[in-house]
This record gives sequence, C-alpha cells and structure tokens, in this order.
Amino acid sequence: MLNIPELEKRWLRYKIKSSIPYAVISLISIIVLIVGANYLLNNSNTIEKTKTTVRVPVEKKSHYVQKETPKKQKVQPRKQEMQTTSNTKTVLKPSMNFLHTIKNEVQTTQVVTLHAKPQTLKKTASVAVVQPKPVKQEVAQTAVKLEKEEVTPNYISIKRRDTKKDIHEIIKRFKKNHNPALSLFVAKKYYELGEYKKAYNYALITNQINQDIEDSWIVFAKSLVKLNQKQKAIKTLKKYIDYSSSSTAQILLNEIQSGKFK
Amino acid sequence: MESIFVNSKEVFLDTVNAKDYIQLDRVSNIYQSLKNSIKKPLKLILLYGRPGTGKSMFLAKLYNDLSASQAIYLYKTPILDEKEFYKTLARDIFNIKYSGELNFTQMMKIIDNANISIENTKEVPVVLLDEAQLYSEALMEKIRLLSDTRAIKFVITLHKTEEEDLIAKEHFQTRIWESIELENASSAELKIYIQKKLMKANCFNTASMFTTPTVNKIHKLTRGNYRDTNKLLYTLFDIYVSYEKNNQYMDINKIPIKYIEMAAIHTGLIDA
Ligand SMILES: Nc1ncnc2c1ncn2[C@@H]1O[C@H](COP(=O)(O)OP(=O)(O)OP(=O)(O)O)[C@@H](O)[C@H]1O
Ligand SMILES: [Mg+2]
Repeated sequence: MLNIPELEKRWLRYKIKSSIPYAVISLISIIVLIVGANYLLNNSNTIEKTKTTVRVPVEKKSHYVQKETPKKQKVQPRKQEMQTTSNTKTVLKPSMNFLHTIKNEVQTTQVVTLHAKPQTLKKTASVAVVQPKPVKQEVAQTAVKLEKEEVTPNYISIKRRDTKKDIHEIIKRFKKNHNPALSLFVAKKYYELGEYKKAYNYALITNQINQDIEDSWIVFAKSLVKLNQKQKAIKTLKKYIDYSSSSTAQILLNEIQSGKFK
Repeated sequence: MESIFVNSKEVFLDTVNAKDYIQLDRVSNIYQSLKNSIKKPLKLILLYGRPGTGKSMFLAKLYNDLSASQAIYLYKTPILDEKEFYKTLARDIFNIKYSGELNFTQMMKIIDNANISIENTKEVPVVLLDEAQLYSEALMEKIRLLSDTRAIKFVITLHKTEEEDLIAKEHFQTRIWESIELENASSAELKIYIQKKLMKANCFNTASMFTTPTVNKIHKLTRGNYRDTNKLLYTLFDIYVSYEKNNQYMDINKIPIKYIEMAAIHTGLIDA
C-alpha cells in the first residue's frame, strides 16, 4: 500500500526545493532589469543636466552596469538557439529543467546540449562541478557511434568483468525487472563460487517466479545437498519430476540417492 | 463494481507476454524487418538496446507469431553451461536425447548429419536467445560457429547499459550480419503506447486522461522507456486508488501534475 500522506509531504518538499533556483534566478533577472532601466533613465538624464552636478553618481552607476553588460551579450546567441523572445525570463527558464535533468541523469545528447548552455548564467560552484559531465558523455557517445560503423574483424569477444562484480550488477538489475533469467544466473554463479546458501535463495526466488525452469530446480536441489539437506533435496526433486518428468532431474535424483553426488 | 483505477493499474504490471504486445509504427517496422531477416540467409541477428526497451517483448512476440509456421525455440533463461547448451539444442531442434555429456565437436557432427535433411525439406530452425550478455565469451564464439554452419539461425538480444556500450560495440565489429537497435519511445509513441495498452483492457475512461501535455510530462520523466513508464503509471493509478478509497474528489478529465510527480518520487524517477 502507498503511504499517501508521506508521499504528499515528500512532494511538497520537492516542490519547494525545486522552486528555490527559480526564485533566485527570477530575483537576479529582476535586479538586472531594474539596474538596466535605471541606467537608461540616468543616461538620458545626464544629457540634459549639467556635467558638474551629477557627475559622481553617474560614474558610479555606469561602472556597475558595465560589469553586467558582457553577461547580457553572452546570453544573446543562446536566445536565438532556443527560439525564445528576448525576454530575460524565458531565457532563464530552461536552466531549471537543467537542474532536474542532472538529478535524473538524462543523457540524451540533444537535451544535454540544450540545457548545458544556460549553465554559464549561474555562478554557484555546484554547477561548475557538474558541467563537464554531460560533455564527456556526449563525446563518448559520438565516439562509440563512429566506431560502430567500421565493421572489421570476425570474432566475437565480450569483455568479462570479475564474477563478484558481475553478480552484484545482475542482482541490481534483477531487483528492477524481476527477470527469472537473472536470478537463475545469480544462483548458478553463487553455486559455482561455493556460496550454497545464496545459491539456494536465488534458485528459490527463481522457482517462485517461474516454476518451469529446470535449471533452477537443479541448482536448488544441488545447493540443498551441499547444505547437508539431502532428504529435502530428494523430496523436492521427486515433486518436480512428478510435475515435469524431467530426465535431467531424474539423473540428478539418482546421483544424489546413490551418493554419487554429494 | 471493480474500480477503473484498479483495472488501469494492473495494465501496467511489468510483464512480458506476447498477447500484450502493442503495435507502434516504429516498433512494427523493426518487427517486420526482423521477420524478413529471419527469412534471409542470415546467420546471426542481434537485437540490442537499453534495459526496458522491449527486447524480451520482441522475442516473445516473434516466438508467438512464428511458432505455428516454423521451427523456432525461445530460451528466456541463458543456458550457461556449454555442454548443457548443446544438449538442449540437440534435444529441442534435432530431437536427440543425450544422457551423457555433449561437446562442441559432437554437436557439430549432429548438425552435419541433420543438415542434409534440413536443407531440402523446411526452413532453418531459429533459436531465440534472450539476455545474451550473460553468455560467456567462449560460448558466444561457439554460437557464432554453430550459426556459420547455416543449420541454425540465432537471434540474440543484448542488454546494453551506459557502461556496457563498449561491450555492445565489440559485438558490432563481428560478423553479425544484421543488428537491430530498440530505442525508447518518442513522446508521440508513448502516448499511443499508453492509450492502446489501456484500451486493450477496456479502460477507455482512463485512456482519454492521457492528453498530449500529460504524456509529455511523463516522457520527460521516463525518457520514453517502456519499463519506467509502466512503473510510473502503475504507481500513478495506485495513487488514484488510494484517493478513491478516501473518497477524495478527483477530476477524471485531467491528471494533476502533482500526482505524476508523486508517482515519480515514489518510483525514484524524481530524486526527492
Ligand atoms: N511493444 C510493446 N508492447 C507492449 N508492451 C511493451 C512493448 N515493448 C515493451 N513493453 C513493456 O515494457 C516492459 C519492458 O520490456 P522488456 O522486458 O521487453 O525490456 P527489455 O529490453 O527486455 O529489458 P532488459 O534489457 O532489462 O531485459 C515490459 O514489461 C513490456 O510490458
Ligand atoms: Mg529482457
């Protein structure tokens, strides 16, 4: 059952959290707008007024605004790319999404390039750290694509990692998709490694998902024998043979009963 | 009366069953070309794609459609032991029961003997191997050699994750004649997928709740991945079921973004 109140709370927290950058950016853009407007207003004022009276404040102001101007120029080309109007607010909006996409680790190249750009607008250190990541991925991806095209030698090779790491990755995947092929794989690997308890557990899980997988019953029974539960193994195998008339299971049963398999 | 939300929820259980197969334009095209490839004198056909893009579904459908008209075998579970693998093939394809061990040379002999009869009678038997990334390098190589005899045709699926891109790449540099990539759905495809799935289960009311903006939102979260979408929608309807139990008012015409986001938080698509 879903815990709705808890979920609602988490959602609210998420909403608040995700609106913070938006609020900050809005605030900055409003300030920029105000300063910009002030600058323009003051500029037109100075033309009419005498130099001596207002000189000092104007200089200060224009100095401050100059700092801002290169930033604005940077924004310009991106605006066009995103096909938005020159309104500062709309330009800034996508960077919100960008924050989400980092979280979700989206790596569709298109999306990444589009969102990666507004980053420059942000001054926080956290963004600067994350920035290189999508770029790397992009490069790696295109590299792979290029290499795919050149068809060369004629042998198959799969890079195998060490078994333990293999198993953990597969367990992770199994938790996601509950594919009995994966749990059986894990059961077999654990059996090979002599971890019979774990082998037993995973074979059991596999049987629960699909009771027609012969291999799984075999690993299950073999693990039981290894765990000194010969009688239980025999009982289980007999049941399975009644149900499936599997010859492989029959052979194993004979071997266990005769003591050939132990 | 069963709640429509309960029924709709069940539609999105993550199962692979040929009868639940949904036809989408792109998927159908790929499916057609795969079916054609099987008819062509190709030996190995590789089906690859990220987790949850429908590879297992494809194999199930292919098996379901072709099993009436030709010899076809589906192994959802990898047979990891090499000798066990040959024994299974010998038993299923050539009807030869082996009680002892069966090695590669013996397997080749079996094929050799059977080859003559196969060639002038019927089509080459097709073997579908799911989760091929679990087979060892050595066995993979043997599978290739077996397919080189042209007596057995293999369709293998390869699960590809970001880190495993390289593994997949190495496969492409081999003599696999045809490789087909399955991808996530586009937003438009996702809409068809969701609606068709619901309508198949007679959930017409809930199907019409999935307007384009709603689906766009879902697509943003799941990137069009079928499995992620199933999970998200399963939870979404679970939320509806809960609210319904509390007799809370619900707008049937529109799915609140809030519900979608709640479902995404619950399924981990949103990190909160
Ligand atoms: N064409 C389709 N019609 C109906 N459902 C589909 C279709 N494609 C995918 N699905 C659904 O998406 C889910 C994931 O698909 P599937 O299990 O085939 O993915 P996969 O590519 O085999 O993943 P993995 O690499 O993890 O094994 C399935 O539960 C299935 O119900
Ligand atoms: Mg699969």
